[in-house]
Amino acid sequence: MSNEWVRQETALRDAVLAGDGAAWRTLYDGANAALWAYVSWRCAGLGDLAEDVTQETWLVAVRRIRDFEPRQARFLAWLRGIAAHVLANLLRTRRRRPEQPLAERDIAAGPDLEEERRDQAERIARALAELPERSEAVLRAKYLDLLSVAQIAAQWDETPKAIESLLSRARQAFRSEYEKLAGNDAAIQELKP
Amino acid sequence: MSETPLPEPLEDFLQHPPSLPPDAKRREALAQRTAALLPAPQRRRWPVVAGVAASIALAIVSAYLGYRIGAANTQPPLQDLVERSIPPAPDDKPKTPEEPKTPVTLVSANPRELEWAAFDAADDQERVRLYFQAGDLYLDKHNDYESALRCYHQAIHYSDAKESQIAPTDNWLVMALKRDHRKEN
Repeated sequence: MSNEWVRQETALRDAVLAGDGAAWRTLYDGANAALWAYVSWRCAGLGDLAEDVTQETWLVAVRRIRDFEPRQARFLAWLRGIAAHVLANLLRTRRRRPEQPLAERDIAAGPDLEEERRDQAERIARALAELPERSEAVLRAKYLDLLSVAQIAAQWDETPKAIESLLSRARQAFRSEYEKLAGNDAAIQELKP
Repeated sequence: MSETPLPEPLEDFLQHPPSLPPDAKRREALAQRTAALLPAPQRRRWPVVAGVAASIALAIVSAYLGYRIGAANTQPPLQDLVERSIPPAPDDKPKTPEEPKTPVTLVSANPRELEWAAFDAADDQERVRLYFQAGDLYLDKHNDYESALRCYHQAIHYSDAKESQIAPTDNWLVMALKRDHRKEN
């Protein structure tokens, strides 16, 4: 991480701690689009979940700004860490809560199709949440940020071979988590009267 | 690099990542809402801290000198010292074994730390416990109603059905929040 970034984000954080609203706005505007893209991806396109996670992430960030340490990570990376945590908590809560009645759901695409699409998206989000951090990061770099293997290798200070291997293992882990969740969901459906 | 294709929904997700359109109005509202929560500006506190430290040091020195002067004036006569040094007759009463001490759980007195710990907690039961503790501290020790409300709200959000029942030990704020929670659900 360049010293220039550290200096800039340290100055902004200190200004925010001194109550400077403009400094907060600079941090917010600088990170918001990237955070939204990250959260949308992690939520597999579930708009309501992505909204909840983004909102909660910013609320946690503003309360915890004192704990943001620019020498350890960029502001966006810190926000992503919070968002991943918030998402994991929300997914746990959603799993525990009873299902909403169908009438309350968005049924624009027809109840069955919409329900299936949502279930599938939620399963993808859960599978991503179960992946080790590095596996999720390499999938994100390749498929969301559209970086080539060589670019990821250069950024992560690894060889392209190592990245290829990591990518392959990450894909397999993603598949395995998804299938495990699909199996669990099928078993639950069978148990229902 | 040729990869084995994944099942369709996964491959589709990876090859066509979802791009939700950001809601500009909502983003703006969130920016304003978070800006309103910015920490209060820090004031220069070193003169206050130095003043308090000096007062404490002065109090300790005064107490020590007072004790030394008082001790010098009340030295007991030698006779008294001899008499008092005779040990009393042994007591025939059998000594009771020491009662086992109840384990003491150390709890951080800093509600902010507790709130962070709750945020990081691995399971919901622990999270709920820590959020309630943080809320109690914010309310009782700091009179910080807004933070207490936030913690209690989180605690109730993660509570299971039993924990979210109103209990006689709940304070007024928790009772009110639990009642609202019950109405919402």
